[in-house]
Amino acid sequence: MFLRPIIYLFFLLLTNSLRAQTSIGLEGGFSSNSFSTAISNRVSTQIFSGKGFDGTVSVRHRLFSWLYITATPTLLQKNYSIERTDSFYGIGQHYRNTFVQLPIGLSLVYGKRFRVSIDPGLYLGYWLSGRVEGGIANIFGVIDSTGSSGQTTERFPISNYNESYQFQNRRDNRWQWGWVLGVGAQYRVSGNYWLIGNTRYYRSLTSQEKPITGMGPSYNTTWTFSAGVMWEIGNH
Amino acid sequence: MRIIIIISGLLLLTSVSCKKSGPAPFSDSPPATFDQLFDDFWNKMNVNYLYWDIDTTDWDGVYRRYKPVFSKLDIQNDQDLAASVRYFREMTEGLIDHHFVLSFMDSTIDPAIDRVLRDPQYRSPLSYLVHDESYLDSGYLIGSDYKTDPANPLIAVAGKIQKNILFFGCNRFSLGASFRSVTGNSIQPLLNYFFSELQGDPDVKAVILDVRDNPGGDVADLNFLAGRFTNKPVHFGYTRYKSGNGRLNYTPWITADISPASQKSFSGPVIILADRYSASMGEIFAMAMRAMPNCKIVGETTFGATGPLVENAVYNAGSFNVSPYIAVETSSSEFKYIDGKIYEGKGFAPDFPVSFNRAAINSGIDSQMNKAIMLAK
Repeated sequence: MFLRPIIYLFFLLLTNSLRAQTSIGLEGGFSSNSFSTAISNRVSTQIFSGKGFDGTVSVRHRLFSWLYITATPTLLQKNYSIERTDSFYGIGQHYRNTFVQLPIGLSLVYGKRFRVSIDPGLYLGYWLSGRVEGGIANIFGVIDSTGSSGQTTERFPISNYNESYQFQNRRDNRWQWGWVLGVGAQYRVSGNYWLIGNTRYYRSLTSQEKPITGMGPSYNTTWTFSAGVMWEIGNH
Repeated sequence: MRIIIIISGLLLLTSVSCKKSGPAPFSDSPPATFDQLFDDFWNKMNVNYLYWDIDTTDWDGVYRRYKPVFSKLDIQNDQDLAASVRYFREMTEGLIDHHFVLSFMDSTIDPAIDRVLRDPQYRSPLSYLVHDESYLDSGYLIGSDYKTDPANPLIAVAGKIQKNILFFGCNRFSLGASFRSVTGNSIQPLLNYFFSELQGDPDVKAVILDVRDNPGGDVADLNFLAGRFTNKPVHFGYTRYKSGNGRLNYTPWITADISPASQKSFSGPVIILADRYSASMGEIFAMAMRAMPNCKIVGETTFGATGPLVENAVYNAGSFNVSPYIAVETSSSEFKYIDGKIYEGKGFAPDFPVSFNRAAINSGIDSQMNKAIMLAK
């Protein structure tokens, strides 16, 4: 029974500490993802970056007036396309991949009512879901025709698809980690309320595909641009 | 409907301009050593081979075992060249792709044929068309085309059996090309006869199609011939393709249909004669036709080479070269039948198995044909 007052005291101190030093923010915005993989052997093929959404809950805990530790759980999309070009135009695949990530880092802050920050950190991410949309030349739809010179032309109809990505343990690394660097700005609107804006750059250090000898890794690099509000718990 | 157009046979495909991203997983320059040759072949198999999802070959194990072996070989040494062929044969002997053929300048490795030759039930191929003629009513047609593809002449037979069973057989599939040929051939009147009888003769009660000993050919012949039997699409399976360099990078499965090419569907019995040498389009045609409710297959289990072939550039997968030493023929897409099963390396079983009997055939009795005629009546 003697533990009860100790626990009570602990939570009292913790609550006071949180009130004095912690802020919580909500942000929403968009992501721009680039996928890097070895495809230069593939004829008339190009990778394009993709846009998606980004939603973040940011928790900041003050260590000093200029230094915070941060945790910013994020739900974001890392989208990209691999498209055929030239005479194969129309063939390609658009990937919409949704990740949940937990970046933990530091925030170096400068300013009073208007503040700017630099936020380095590391993150752990999990590939929640994926969707693939694209078109492919349907081999059984091929129609040949012969020109007056006897030359044969093959016409392949494009078949389109749009369906959930089927994960495979043999292929996909769903857990990924990497580093993140953010730049932020905060403006105290009134009392404990701030308007915030952040740009973050996520660089995965885990290949999206499990390694194969001779095959290079496949990485996502993602920019996010978000804006929102932040609430300080208690007065500083 | 969007389409892409490929001018066949032109190397333009591989030289069209393209923007590329990321380093290639293998070199484009000719290998100077066996070590490089092995690396290029092994890596190109990673990228281009279709069946890594179901193939039981331990390709990483192949690398661990044979990389040091090839590192010790001298590409200028004739004995080492001969040894390398033996090693390539060992490396590839378990691949399930029955289209897989690895060609060197003076030798060929064909794991599927090697398996056929090792089969205790092995028999040599037999050309059935000459035997089919003995079953045909007088007035049947024999067509041939030696000009469109001189290396692979096309021979076809069409006629009637017992007055109301329409028969067609061909030694390979290049029917559309011969039919459209501007140089003229006897395939054209034969096909005109067959199509007009199929679609216009009310006395035709059934059709027998013979694809025994047919090694395949042009994929476009599927719709060209099978399409004449239907006035609506016939769903018979699915295909998928490589979508990246990873072994397991695939597109989703795409529906495979026979495109209709007739004003009305043929509703009578259609019997397909197939055997263990019905391969590639020879067996895909039989499988696709079998998806029609009025079609049955008689004969033997087919060869098991169900993945169609086109030039590598179309899908960035399938057949490839490690120039100037090796040319590899392998499937361009993976085919799954309408029942959800992949028959690559296994073959498609007939509805009515009838054993091959060479002695009976030589004496004028084709048990498979007899069964087909019985079912057609």
